[in-house]
Amino acid sequence: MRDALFEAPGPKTKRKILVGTIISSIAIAAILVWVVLRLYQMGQFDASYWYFFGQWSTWRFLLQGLAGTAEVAVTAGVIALALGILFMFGRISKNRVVSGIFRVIINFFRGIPSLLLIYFFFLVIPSYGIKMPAFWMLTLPISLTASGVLAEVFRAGVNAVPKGQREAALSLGMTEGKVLRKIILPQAIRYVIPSLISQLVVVVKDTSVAYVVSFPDLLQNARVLISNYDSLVSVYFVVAIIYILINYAINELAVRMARQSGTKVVTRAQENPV
Amino acid sequence: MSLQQLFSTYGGMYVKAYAATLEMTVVSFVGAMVLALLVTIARVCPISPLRRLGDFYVQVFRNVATISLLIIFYYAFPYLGIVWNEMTCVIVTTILVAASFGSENFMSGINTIGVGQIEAARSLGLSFGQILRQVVIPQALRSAVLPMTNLLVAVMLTTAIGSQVPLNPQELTGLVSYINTMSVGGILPFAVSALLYAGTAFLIGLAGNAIDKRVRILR
Amino acid sequence: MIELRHVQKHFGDLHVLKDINLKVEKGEVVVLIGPSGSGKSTLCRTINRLETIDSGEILIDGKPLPQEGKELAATRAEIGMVFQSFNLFAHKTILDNVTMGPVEVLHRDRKEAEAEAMELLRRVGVAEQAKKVPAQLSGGQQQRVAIARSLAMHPKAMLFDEPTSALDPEMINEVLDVMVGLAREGMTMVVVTHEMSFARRVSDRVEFMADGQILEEGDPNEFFDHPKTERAREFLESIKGH
Repeated sequence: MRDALFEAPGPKTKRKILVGTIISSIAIAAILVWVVLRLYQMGQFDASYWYFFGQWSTWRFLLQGLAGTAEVAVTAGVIALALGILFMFGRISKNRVVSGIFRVIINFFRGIPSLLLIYFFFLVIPSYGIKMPAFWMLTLPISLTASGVLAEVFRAGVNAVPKGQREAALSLGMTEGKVLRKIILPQAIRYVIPSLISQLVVVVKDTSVAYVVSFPDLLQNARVLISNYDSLVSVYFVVAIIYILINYAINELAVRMARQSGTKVVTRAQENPV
Repeated sequence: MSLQQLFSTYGGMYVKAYAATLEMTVVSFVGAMVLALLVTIARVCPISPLRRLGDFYVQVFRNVATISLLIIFYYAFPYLGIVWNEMTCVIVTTILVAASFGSENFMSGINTIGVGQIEAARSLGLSFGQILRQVVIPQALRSAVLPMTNLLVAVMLTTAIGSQVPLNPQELTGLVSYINTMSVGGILPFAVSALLYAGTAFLIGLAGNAIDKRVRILR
Repeated sequence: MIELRHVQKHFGDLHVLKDINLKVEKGEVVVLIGPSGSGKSTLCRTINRLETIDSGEILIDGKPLPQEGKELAATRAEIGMVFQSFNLFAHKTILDNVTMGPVEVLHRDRKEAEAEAMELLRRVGVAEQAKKVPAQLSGGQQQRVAIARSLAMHPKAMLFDEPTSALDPEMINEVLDVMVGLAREGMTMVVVTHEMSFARRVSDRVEFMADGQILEEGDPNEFFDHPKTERAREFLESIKGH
């Protein structure tokens, strides 16, 4: 579509595009050179900031952190999926009280930052004498905020299943509950798989505050490296790139699954904000 | 601690914290919209280096962990001779991340228009600028209302990263951790912040729905 | 009025227009007919440069079709186009759809443009719908609005790219009736269509296309009753069944 905005260029337009291409290439190159120069002037290319990336122990430590990130992200993702479906069922309940309660629950968890909820699990819950490992102080709040979002993702998916499907299944003698479980939900989930995967990116990003509860994730281990080698810029730079690459891979997976599934895709844009 | 005690001791700070959250939210959202527009223009323009730069921008900033970006601006940039105050760091981080999602929203808004309408406008003899003004932008904006409402809420929630730097005054999340370190706060300080966040998000959502209902394009 | 000389076009490896020569005189109604994928739509769309060509010449009133800029826009403003999928502006009312061209391109006074637009909408029979948006109208109504939108520009020629192919059967005639009226008034028309009755009733000439070539051209009755080529016979046989 973005190509359709501009029509096939004529000779004058082609010349303008060529000039634009040259100028913008030069500008982009100039910015890159400036950044590299700046880093160089500030001594950031000094070997002392980079040599330890040549050591296996460094990468092993970062990979351990990454394993922690993955552990939290996957656990939180699974819990959020289950809770999201549960909340969605509550939300679409025919019972007004039930659906009202779940509407409040969903909007509450969608409407607060995961960091705030992490502080709740980290600072408030222990003050009531409940002991909880760091892993759960991180994983539970992330699951809860994600589940609010996922409930709405699922609801958008359920709404997108054609009405005729339900009527056809009912006329076969299925009960309402069975129709929902056997006919509607499987299709709804297929529609929203790409949205679910992109929500996984949000979960991965949320895990990066693990240092708040001293859980050894990628960023927390990076902080240890920084204090060991006194090289803040290089380590944070590398860690940021690792996050970008992981999430990029997850997003690409979502795009590819959307393309392959061949069914319609319900995107986040089709959700209601309230 | 009772609610009364909480408000008599920290009431003023809550007002300030809520104001700080709102201020950072509004400034970041406006900044993000402007940047998202620029990025989107770059992504749809026929000059391929700019296109690729726009795409690259979106991939980087929607995938980077927000906290790691904030930490880079706040802790690493001074090593490069760039020193920003806490609030600037939070706002810049939020703008950069939100703009990548905003640009995605604009792009899908443009995608809903369809080639046919643009060709029809072309056949009427409308210039490129007129097609943008009359056909593309009005429709892209209208179909972006709901996603942008969701983004505004996301921006507000993102400003909670302000709790990770010594912001002054603190925002709603930082204040909760502050109160809990100063006194045994229990559930109340958390609940007040949470309700302010969730309530604001709810109101933003209602407003977004109302606007969407008025401008929604029947298809 | 419209002339194509040795026009060639490729989509990648696909040779979609093979040495097309076509001349449409003022007031003539030419129907392009042929199996799908024969290049007839592409040919129609090259005339106002919605599709570019690789080589050859397209002349409008003896002058080459401009390649870009104001000149191209001005030429397009003089040639109406009606699409298979109507392509009305979804966010504008029916009335605004019709006035957009005159107001934005011809810089006409809005009040005058609206008065004329209402007249045109009455003529195509959708005046009561003026305040609605496109999605509230049936396909046939939308297509008639699209024709009114083109007419509002006072075009000297009109291109119709399968104008009835996306319509339910009962709506086809309401659109064809408008087109017949236009033809009778002397509008220069290039029409891509499968509607044989329309071709027989009003067209001056039929051009039969297959595989990117014009295989046969001539009087519509002659063509439909006694096609000269095997391809044309096969094609007519295949659409007659319906």
